[in-house]
Amino acid sequence: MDPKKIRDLLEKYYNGESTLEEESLLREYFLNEPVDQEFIADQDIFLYQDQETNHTEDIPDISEELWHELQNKSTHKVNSNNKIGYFYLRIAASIIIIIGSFFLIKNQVFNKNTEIQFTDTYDNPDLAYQQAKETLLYVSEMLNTGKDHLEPIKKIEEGTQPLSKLTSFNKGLNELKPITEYTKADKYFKQ
Amino acid sequence: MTTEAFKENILPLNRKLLGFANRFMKDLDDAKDVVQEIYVKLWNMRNDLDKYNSVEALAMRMTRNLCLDKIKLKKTVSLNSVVREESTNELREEDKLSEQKLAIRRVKQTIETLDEPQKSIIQLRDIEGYEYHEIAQILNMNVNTVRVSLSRARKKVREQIITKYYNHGSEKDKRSVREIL
Repeated sequence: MDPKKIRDLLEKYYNGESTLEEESLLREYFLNEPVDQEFIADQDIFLYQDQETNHTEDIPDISEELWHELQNKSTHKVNSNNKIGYFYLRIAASIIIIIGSFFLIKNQVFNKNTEIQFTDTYDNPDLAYQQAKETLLYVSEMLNTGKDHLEPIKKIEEGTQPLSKLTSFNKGLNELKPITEYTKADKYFKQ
Repeated sequence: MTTEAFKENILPLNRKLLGFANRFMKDLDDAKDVVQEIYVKLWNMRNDLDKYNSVEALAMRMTRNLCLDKIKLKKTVSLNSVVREESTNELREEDKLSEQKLAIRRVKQTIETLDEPQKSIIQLRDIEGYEYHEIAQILNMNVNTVRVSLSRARKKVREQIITKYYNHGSEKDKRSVREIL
């Protein structure tokens, strides 16, 4: 092909006006003929195009795979009605569980109320009184021995007494608060 | 559309879609995932497919959109940096590849650096071999806009290849100095 024609075709190509036939003509030309230095970049471009269009062995045909997938999907679709059924079943199940547990808990609480009844363990009231008194005394004794150990806490009280004077210091601090107004004003001055 | 028609007309598009998706995702497995997703979508709307005058254009558009979405999600690694990284690796491998292969890879990289939709247009036209009106349909653009963008994209690629690789003057020296530093 003569360079003039190539030049024309290329111009059309770069202007986005070439037809697909013209483009394949160009591709053929650049693939098969040694080209002039002026077309060297163009040749790269058309070689690239040829490479990408005609040497695509690494792109597999995955129709089988896809068809299989779609077939699976559509059988799943049939099941999707069941899916909705499952959805409602789940809701129903949770409602049953909630209601069930509500009654169960309610019953338990109710039963407890009835179970906690005072039943006599002693036949003789005097003996029972004696026993109770003894137990209570024992408890109070134990409490007292425990309390003795807490005696030193009073010392803390003594220590903190002088600190109450701090409240007057606080008062003084409060009176100093208006100073903040001064710093605010100061800021304005600085601006 | 019947199941048979779907199998006969739509399923064979898969290689085209896969190649197209692969160009976006740069990973065949990712591209396969995309195509699979597209086919599930197409399958679910198979009853409406007859309404479209070109299912192929529709499928290509869906593929492109899904790829762009996925890339956006993966954007943490910026695309440009990947390309740049590749090109530095490229230079080291330079000696190993034959002159022609190298030239082809350079064109590929240059096209990679184009912005959307220029990149898609140049690929749809120069690789997939679509007519202008089909590209317009796929990209939901005006035919004239497609022509103008295509023209700009082609010129840009040529210009970049010439200045980057065939201008044996200052440009290349600068580049190598940068490489050494």
